Amino acid sequence: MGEVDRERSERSERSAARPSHELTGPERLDRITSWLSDDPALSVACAAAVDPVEIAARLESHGVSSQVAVDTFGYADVFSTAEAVYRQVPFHDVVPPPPSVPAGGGPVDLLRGALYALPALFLPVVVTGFGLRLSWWVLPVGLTVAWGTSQAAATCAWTLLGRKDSRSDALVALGTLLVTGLACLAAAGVAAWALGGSASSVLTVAAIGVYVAASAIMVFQQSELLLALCMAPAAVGSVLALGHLPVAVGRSAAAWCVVATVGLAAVAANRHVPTRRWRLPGLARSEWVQATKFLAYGTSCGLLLGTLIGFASGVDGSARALSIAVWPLLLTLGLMEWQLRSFRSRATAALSASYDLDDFGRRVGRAFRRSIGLYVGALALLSVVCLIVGRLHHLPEVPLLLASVGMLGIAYFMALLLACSGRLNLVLRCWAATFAVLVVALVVDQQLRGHIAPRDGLLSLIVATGTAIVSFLVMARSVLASPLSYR
Amino acid sequence: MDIALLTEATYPHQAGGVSVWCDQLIRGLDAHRFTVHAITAGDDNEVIWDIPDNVVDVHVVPLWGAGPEVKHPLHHSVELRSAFVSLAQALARADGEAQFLDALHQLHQLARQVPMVGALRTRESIEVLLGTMQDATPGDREFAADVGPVTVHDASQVLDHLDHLLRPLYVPPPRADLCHASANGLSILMALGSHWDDGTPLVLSEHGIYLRERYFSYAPDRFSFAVRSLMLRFYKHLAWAGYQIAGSIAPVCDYNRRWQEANGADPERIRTIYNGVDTDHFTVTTTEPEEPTLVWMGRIGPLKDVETLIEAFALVHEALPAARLRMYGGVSEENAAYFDRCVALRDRLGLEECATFEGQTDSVVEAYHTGHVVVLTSISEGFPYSLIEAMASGMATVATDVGGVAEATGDAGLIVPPQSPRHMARACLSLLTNDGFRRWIAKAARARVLAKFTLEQNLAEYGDVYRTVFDRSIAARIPAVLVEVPAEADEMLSAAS
Repeated sequence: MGEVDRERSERSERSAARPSHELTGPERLDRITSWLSDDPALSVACAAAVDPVEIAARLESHGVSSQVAVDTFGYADVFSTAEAVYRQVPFHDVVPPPPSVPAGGGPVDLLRGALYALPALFLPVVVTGFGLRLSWWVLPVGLTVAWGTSQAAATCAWTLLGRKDSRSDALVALGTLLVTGLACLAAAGVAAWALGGSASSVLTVAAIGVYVAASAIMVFQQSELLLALCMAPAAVGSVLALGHLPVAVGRSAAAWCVVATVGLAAVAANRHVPTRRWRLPGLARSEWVQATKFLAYGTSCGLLLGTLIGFASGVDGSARALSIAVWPLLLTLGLMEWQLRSFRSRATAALSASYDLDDFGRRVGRAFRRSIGLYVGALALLSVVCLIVGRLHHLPEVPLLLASVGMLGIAYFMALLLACSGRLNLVLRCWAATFAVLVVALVVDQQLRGHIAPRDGLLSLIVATGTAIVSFLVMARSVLASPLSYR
Repeated sequence: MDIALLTEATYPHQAGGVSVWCDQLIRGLDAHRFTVHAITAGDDNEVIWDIPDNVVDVHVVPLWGAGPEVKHPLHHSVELRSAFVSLAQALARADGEAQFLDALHQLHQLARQVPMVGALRTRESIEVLLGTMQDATPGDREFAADVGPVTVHDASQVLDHLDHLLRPLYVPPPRADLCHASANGLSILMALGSHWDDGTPLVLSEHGIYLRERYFSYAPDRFSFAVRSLMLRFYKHLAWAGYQIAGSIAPVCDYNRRWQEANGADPERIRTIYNGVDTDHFTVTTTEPEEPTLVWMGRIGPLKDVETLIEAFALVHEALPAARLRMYGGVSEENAAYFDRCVALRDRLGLEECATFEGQTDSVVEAYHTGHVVVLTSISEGFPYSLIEAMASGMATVATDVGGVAEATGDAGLIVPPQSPRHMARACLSLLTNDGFRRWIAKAARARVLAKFTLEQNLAEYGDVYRTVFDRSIAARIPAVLVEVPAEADEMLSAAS
C-alpha cells in the first residue's frame, strides 16, 4: 500500500464515526468517495461525467438528496457534493459500444438474387404451356407498374416498421397486392386498346404484377425462405417439363404449376391479414410524398427495362438473342444486393473509424470503387461468356443487346446506391435527364431516317443510360463521401 | 386571455401525470382560451384526450418525422454558417449561454425567411462540429486527456440531433397573450420565438427537472464523451434561456427550486405551485383485498425504476408468501424493450403468479383500492400525481426520496432511498404487517391532500400567476410617457369623481 493510500485509509477510519459537520474537507471527500466505491456503476458514471451537474443528477437518483448531503457527507447540498466529486475524482472515460453497423452482404445474397431472377424462366413456360400469343408490351407494362407500386409500398412499410406500427402492415400488404393488380389491369387494358392485344395478354400482365408485388412484400417481411417455397411448384414444374429427367410432366401441367406459384405467393404475402388487428396506415403528407417519389423511381426503372424489351423484341431473331443477353443482368441481381449491403456496411463503419472528413472520404471512396468494380467486373465476365455463346449460335444481335443490358445494370446499381443514401431526389432528376436524352435521341433518329429502327432504339438507350451513369458518377463523388448519407 | 400551452411528448397524445395536469388546467381555467402547441416525436400522432371546448386549436410540432422538403438548403448562406458556428462555439463553452441565445435568435430570424428544416445538414456543419468537439474536453479534471478521439460518427450524430431538436425554433411562433410551457425543454424554443417576435410573456412550469432527465438519457454507456458533452450543454444552455425569459417560474415542488436556482433562475420569480387532485373524485374505501397487496401506478419506463420495484417485491414475497404486486400502467413503444426487461426479471425471480402487469386501467381510484399499500420507486420525479391521488384515495404509501416526493407525503407516508430494494421492501413490510400503522398513515395522507393539494388551490394559483405575469408584461410594454399623468388632469379627474 502506498503512503498516500495508507494516509487516506487512516483518515477514513478516524472520520468514519464522526458527525458530518465535524469533518474536514479531505475527510468529507473520503466519505463520499468511499460511499461511491460501494456502487461500481455509479462510480463509473461519476468518473465519466461531463460536468458537476451530471454528478448531482446521478447522486440524487441514488438517494443523495440535499438533506442526505448535509447529514451524511457534511456538504451544503447535493450540488456542492457533486462539485467536490467532479474536482477530485479523476476523470475516466467510458467507451460506449461501437455504433451498430448494418450487416454486410454475402454469398447468401446470391440466393436472394436467384429469387428475383428465376421468375424470368417461368413466363416462357406459361406461354408454351397454355399456347398463349402474348403481345410484346406484356413484360414492359407488367414490370413497370409492379416495380413502381412495390417501391412505394416498401417505403410505406418501412415507415410503419420504423414506428413499430404492426397494425397497419397487413393492410399495406393487401393494399399493395390489390393496387398493383388493378393498376396492371388498367395499364394493360390501355396498352391493348392502343397497341392491340388479347385478353390473355392483359391477364398475364396482372399476374406478373401480382407476383412481383407479392414477392416484394415477402422480401420486406424477410420471408425469403417462404418465397422460395412458393416458387417451388413453378421451378419443379418447369424443370420436369424440359423432359430431361426420368419423371416428366406436360407443358400444360408445368404452366399450371406456375399459376399455383403466383397464387401461393399472393396468399403467403397476406398470411397476416386474418390474424392482425387492422388500422389504416397513419402516414403524414411528407411520407406520402416520399412514397410517391419511390413510385416514380420504380416506374422509371421499369420503363427503362420496358424500353429495352420493347426495342429488343423488334430485332430479328430477338427472342433467342435476348434470352442469352439478359443473363448477365439476371445472374448479377444477387451480386448487386450483396455489394449494396457491403458498401453501406463499410461506409457506416468508416464513420466511427475516421477522425476527419478527408479520411472518411478516402475510406468511402475505396469501398465504392471496390463494390462498383466487383459488380462491373462480374457483369463484364458474364457478358463475355454470353458473347461467346451468341457467336456459337450465330446470333449477331447479341453484342448490342449485351451492351444495352450491361449499361442498364450499371445504371440500376448506381441509382440504388444513391437512393439508399437518401438522395432519391438526385436519382429522380437523373432519371428525368436520362429519359430526356432518350427521347431526343429517338426524335433525332426519327427525323433523320423517317422511322425508328429497333437497333437504333437500342443505341439511343445505350446513349441515355450512359448519360445516367456519368451523372451518377459525378454525383457519387460528393454524395457518397458525405457522412449524412449514412444516417 | 389567449394562452399558448406548450407541451412536449405529453398532452394531448400521451397519458401520464403532465397530461393530467394539462387537462385539469385547461378545464379548470375555462375563462381562458387555450391553443396547444405539442412537440411530438414523429408525425403520426393520435389525440387520446377529449379536447375541451376552450381549446381553440392543437398544433403539432414533430421532431423526427420526415418534415417538409428543403427547397433552399442554404448550403452557402453566410448567415446560416455564422449562426451555426456561433451555436457550436457556445456549446463548446460552459459559459456560452449568452452566445447560445444569440445563435438561436439568428436561426429563428433565418427561419422567417427560408425553410430551415434540414438546412444544417451539410458537410460544412460536420466540419464545424468536429473542430468544436475536439476542443470540448473536461480540461479542469484530472486525467482529462484520457477522452477518446472524436470521430466523424460523433459529429454527424450531434448534427443529426441538433437538426431535429431545433425544429420547434423554426415553426411560426405561438400568437397569444401568454405562453405557458409545461417543461423547461424544447418547448422553450417556441416560447423564445414568441418572446422575440411579440414580447409574449412566459409562465414556466416544471414537473420533473427536464435537464436532470436529459443527463440520464445521454448516459456514458450509450454516447461518447464528445457527444454527451455537446448535447448536454445544449439542454443546459436551453434551460438557462428558459429561466431568463420566464416571467414566472412555477415548479411543482420546492425541491425543483434548487435545480432552477443552480441553473440561473432568479429566485424572486420562482413560485411553487403544488399539483392538486379533485378530492371528490378520489374517494376512500373501507374494504381491503384479502391478500397483502402492493399497487404501483405509472407509465412503465426506466425513470420509474420498475426493476427496483420487482426486486423489492421479491424480498416482500420471501417474507410474506401470500403477498401480491399489481402494476397498473401502459408502455410506450420507446419503452417496449425496458418493459421486456422487467417481465424477464419478474420471471427470473419466479414471480409470474404474484406480480402482474395489469395494463392501463379505466378507473384509477378502483385500481388504488385493489391494494393495501401504493408504492412508487422512481429515480426522478416532480410532484407525482400517482402519489397524491393514492393519498387522496386513503391509501398508505411508500415512495422513493426524489424530487418533491417528501414534500407530498410529509409525515403521512414512508420515504426510502431510490434504487434500494431492501429499504423499499422493509418499508412495505412494515405497512403490510401492521394494520393499525397502515390505517393511521392512510388517514393522515387523505387529510394532508385535503389541506394542501386540492385542485381548487392549484387552479387559483395558476389563475393568479397568469394575471400577474400578463399585467406585468402589459405594463412593461406601455411607453413611460403615457404613465406620467399631468397634475391638472389628475385634479380634474378627482373633482369629477
